Amino acid sequence: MGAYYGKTGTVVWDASAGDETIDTVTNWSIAATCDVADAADMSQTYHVFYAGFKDWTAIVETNLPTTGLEVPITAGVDEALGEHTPAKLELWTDDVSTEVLYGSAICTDITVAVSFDAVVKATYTFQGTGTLAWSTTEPSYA
Amino acid sequence: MAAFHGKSGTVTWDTTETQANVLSWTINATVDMAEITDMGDTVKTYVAGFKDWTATIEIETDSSGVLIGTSSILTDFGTAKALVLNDGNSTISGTGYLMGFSINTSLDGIVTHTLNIQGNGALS
Repeated sequence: MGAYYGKTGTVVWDASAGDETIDTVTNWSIAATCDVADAADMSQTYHVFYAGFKDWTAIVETNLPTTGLEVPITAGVDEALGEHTPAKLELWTDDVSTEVLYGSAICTDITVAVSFDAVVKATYTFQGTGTLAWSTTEPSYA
Repeated sequence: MAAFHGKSGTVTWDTTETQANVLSWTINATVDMAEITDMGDTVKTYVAGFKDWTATIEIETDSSGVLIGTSSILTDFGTAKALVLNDGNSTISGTGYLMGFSINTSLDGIVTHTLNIQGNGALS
């Protein structure tokens, strides 16, 4: 068991419709949270919490390829955001250890940044809807 | 399929006014999310709502004045016009309001101005 490098990570969007790999990813991150409700009352000295709903979001940063935006692969910004039906998002940490975080998500934010002294960047933000799963094998979809 | 540099990017305002001295531009497109989680769920669930977009353009100000396209920013402030953003490879366009601007002057740097555009309607 050891640490490993992130350079072979991959991202797959709309995975249930086929392996639509997002190319030229430079980094991705996922944030999973859990609401907590404070149950402290006047008799206590410390806060006491109860767990509520879980939630998750993901951010995928890319160098924009010359073929254009990839969410979805063949459409532009406006059409991408028009995908109101959640799609399967797979975030692979590594192509060797086959560890993957996956779930249904909606692409809620696309940012394209162009600067005279840098490569063109595209960043996608996903709002998870429903369960986030972790697997060490290829996810299968019904 | 390869990454590419941003140095060939362009900005056009009001259909034909080419923006000079652009340093960078950014477009941010979003969709509202409405939560539909209810009792009995364990994880939050959402449905998508309205789409929206904004753009920011950073410009090196020159002696021609503080311009958007070839127009004074004070003339077009609060006005919606056609905006075309090209990254040197492809184009994103829509109609947007010049809803804000800032002029940035420093003792040790060039003068720049930043334009904030609020999209009004669809991107294409």
